[in-house]
Amino acid sequence: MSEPLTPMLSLKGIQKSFHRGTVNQKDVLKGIDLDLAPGDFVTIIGGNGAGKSTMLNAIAGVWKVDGGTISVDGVDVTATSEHKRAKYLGRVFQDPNMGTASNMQIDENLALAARRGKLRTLKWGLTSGERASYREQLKMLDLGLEDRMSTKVGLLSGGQRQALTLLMATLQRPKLLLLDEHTAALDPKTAAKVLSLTDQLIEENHLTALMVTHNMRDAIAHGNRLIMMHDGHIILDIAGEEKKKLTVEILLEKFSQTSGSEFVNDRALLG
Amino acid sequence: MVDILLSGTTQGLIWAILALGVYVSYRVLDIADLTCEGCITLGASVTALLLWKEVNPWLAVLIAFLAGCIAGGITGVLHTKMKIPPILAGILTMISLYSINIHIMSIATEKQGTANLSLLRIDNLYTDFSSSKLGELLNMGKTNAALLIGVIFCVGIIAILYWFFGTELGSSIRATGNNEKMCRAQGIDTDLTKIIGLALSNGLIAVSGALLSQYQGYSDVNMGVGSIVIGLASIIIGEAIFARTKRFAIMLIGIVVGSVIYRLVVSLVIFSGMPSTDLKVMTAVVVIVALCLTSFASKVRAKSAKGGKGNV
Amino acid sequence: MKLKKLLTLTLAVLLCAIGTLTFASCGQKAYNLPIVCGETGMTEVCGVATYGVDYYALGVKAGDMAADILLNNADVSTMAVQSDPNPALYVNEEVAAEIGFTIPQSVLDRANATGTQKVTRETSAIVTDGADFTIGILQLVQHVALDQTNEGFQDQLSVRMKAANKTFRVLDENASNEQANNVTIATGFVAQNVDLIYAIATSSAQAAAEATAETDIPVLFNAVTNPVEAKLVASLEAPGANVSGVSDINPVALQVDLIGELLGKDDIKIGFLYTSAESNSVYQINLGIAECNAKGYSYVDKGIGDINDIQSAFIALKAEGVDAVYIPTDNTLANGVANVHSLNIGE
Repeated sequence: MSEPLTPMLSLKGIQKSFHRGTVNQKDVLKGIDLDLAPGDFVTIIGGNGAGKSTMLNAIAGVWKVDGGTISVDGVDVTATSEHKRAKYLGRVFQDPNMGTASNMQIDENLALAARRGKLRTLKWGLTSGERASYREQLKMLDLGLEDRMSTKVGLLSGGQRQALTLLMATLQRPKLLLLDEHTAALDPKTAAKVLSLTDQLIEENHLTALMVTHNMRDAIAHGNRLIMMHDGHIILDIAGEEKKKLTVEILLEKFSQTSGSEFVNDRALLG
Repeated sequence: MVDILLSGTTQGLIWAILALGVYVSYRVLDIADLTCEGCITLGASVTALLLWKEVNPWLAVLIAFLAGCIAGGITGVLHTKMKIPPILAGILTMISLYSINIHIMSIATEKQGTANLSLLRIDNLYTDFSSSKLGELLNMGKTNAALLIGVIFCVGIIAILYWFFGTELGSSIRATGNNEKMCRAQGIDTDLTKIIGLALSNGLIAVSGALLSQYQGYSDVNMGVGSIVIGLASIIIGEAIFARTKRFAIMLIGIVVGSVIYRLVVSLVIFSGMPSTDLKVMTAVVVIVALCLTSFASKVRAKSAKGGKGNV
Repeated sequence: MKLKKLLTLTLAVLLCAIGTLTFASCGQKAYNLPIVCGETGMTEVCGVATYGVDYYALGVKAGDMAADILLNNADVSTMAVQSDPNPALYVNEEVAAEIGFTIPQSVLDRANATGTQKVTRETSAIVTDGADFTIGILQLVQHVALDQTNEGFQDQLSVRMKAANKTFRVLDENASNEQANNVTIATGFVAQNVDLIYAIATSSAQAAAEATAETDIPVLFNAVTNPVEAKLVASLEAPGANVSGVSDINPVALQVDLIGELLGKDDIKIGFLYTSAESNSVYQINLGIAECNAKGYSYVDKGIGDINDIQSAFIALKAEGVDAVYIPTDNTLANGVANVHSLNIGE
């Protein structure tokens, strides 16, 4: 008899509203319950205002939620501050500029990421031993970055920066990888490359990941589980074999059944 | 002429320390910190009080540094923990320091309301050095001692800053000024890095005040007026000259050079014979011209580079 | 919502309370105390009479001292610090009428608010090339009083130089209220080996003294209220080094004597009103107290914390039965002279 595994992520009754108490109050998350098993690679899809990015921000601790609890690998982090929570999390943002320090070099950025969750002391920030290991890691990205380690990140293209951010997010193995529409700002070719890199890193490191995407095809093609959000709730949760058989048409059909409305989002449909 | 250059350089080196402090807050942390004007006076008044009490001048400078760190830390806490906008936080600390400085100087004279503390004919760093064995060996008067001590301080501070910003903590402070959101995502406590950065910045500014008060012979509650402008002008001139460098150490040296140049320019303008009412506008004009020339020069460089390579 | 209403209500109540208090304080009883201030400017607003320091005359005095040093080789270290030799007696009949005070005729007769006669500058003595002497002038900031000391200095020096058939060159520099420039200008003067430095204001004088510490260039200061406290000189009578000059300390003793003359008797009580946090004010009050002791006047020492304490200070002084009030040259009270006057006449 096997013990039930501790979920890597457990959200219970998450609620979040913005501008509370004013005329502009917007209730974005209206009671989210979600459990992720270790190794789950979950894609999240939904229309505008469904609450996808908000849910990711809630998990990351950008602000405190109004109600509910968040646990990562059994540890209650609901009241933990953002930078303390970072110990468990790897994050890649939609804006390629957000995940790296543009005035610092590639190797310096990696050195910062390598120390996530550790106390930063007066030890030297980037040793030559580290540099050698970073070179090996950068080779894996296959973008030629390993030859430009002293270049300031600000000079790289959006795709290169996102790949670097991905690498930084996984350098220290995170318990949970949060990807917030991380290919949305890239051109299709680069986006595909970053997505395949995402798959590769998640598989090699056996990571648990949440990927918000606006692209239904990507949501279907990647990961082992798919969640659809609408109006602050999770309305669809499809995993395993059923997910493999999904197509965009089936998804749309399921959406209109459960939410009682048409899914209106050109970007998601046209991909 | 040489003597004017020498004294201008010595003053430039003292102000360079302030410029380096302003650089830490303004460029590295990307925070406009106005505590500067109160902090340089804090360094001066603490040093003056300690010298009155016959404390070792080097120790006095160190204590002034710590006092500056505390002042910067307070600005940091006001900004990070009480969410006060950084400019306002700096102003609040600066205003408070006005009264605090008067209290500090009053301790020395034991009279309330002392706004000026004289250091004339009191042993200080410069007189101690020139009358020490080393100083007599090198046959140094007070003026030459001041120049040498200025160089020692600048070189020492540049070395310490270069080392510090290469450490884990220093790198996290640099990253905070560059991309705060990313830092938090990487587990860096950005509140703490800002407080430490501001503390360091103002500590350096206080050291500049400590040296300046001994060089000019007094500490006065109004001596900080205009000092933030001097710091920023030094940084801008330094960056204009050393625009093409990517190396942090070279940039720091550039700040020191910029400060010396600015002080020499001011000297030049003062002694050029133009009416003294025009001092401030003429100094500004000279700085503007210098900046335009460097910007023009870099445009010319870029054009010739483009012409050689064809379309970029 | 409720909280907002509560706050608005509290604010309204507070405003009403303030309004009532202000109204109540109008029509207060008038104290009508004759006031003598340390400075003419303040006396023009709230005082009946005073002896005023003439900054132009101070400048002339410094010019004489400079001429003695340069032309007659006088030794700076033994030149006593000077102050205004002939302060002008200023009388304010308007304020006197407002408080119902009669100024004695003897005082009115002596009043000469026109100030010192200007000295005509001998421009031929001031040259740019081939001068016998070079003078470096370091002024802290553009300001009427300081400008007058500069003008008086150059006027008088030119007259003395012309009489001795000598010429001099002037390097007239102004720090423009940035003390950083004090050092630049002073060290520049030393580098150019001027024959004398004339420094106007305390911090400028200190910078000049420090810059000339290892030289024998004489420094004359002006517009420094307390040269001994500023460590510019060892004592007023015997400076002791290369620095001396003119102090702009107001003639407190004369002003206290004036109070006695205004009241026409010796059996008087003077109220000293000043800001205890200003060391220059404390310095003047101590001089005043010394003069009271010398003359046998009794006095009350009323130091205030800030401008809001004036009302209670007046009440206390009146309760102690003072006959007149002396206010020294005090920055805080100078800014609040209008308040002082309104309180005194009870509006």
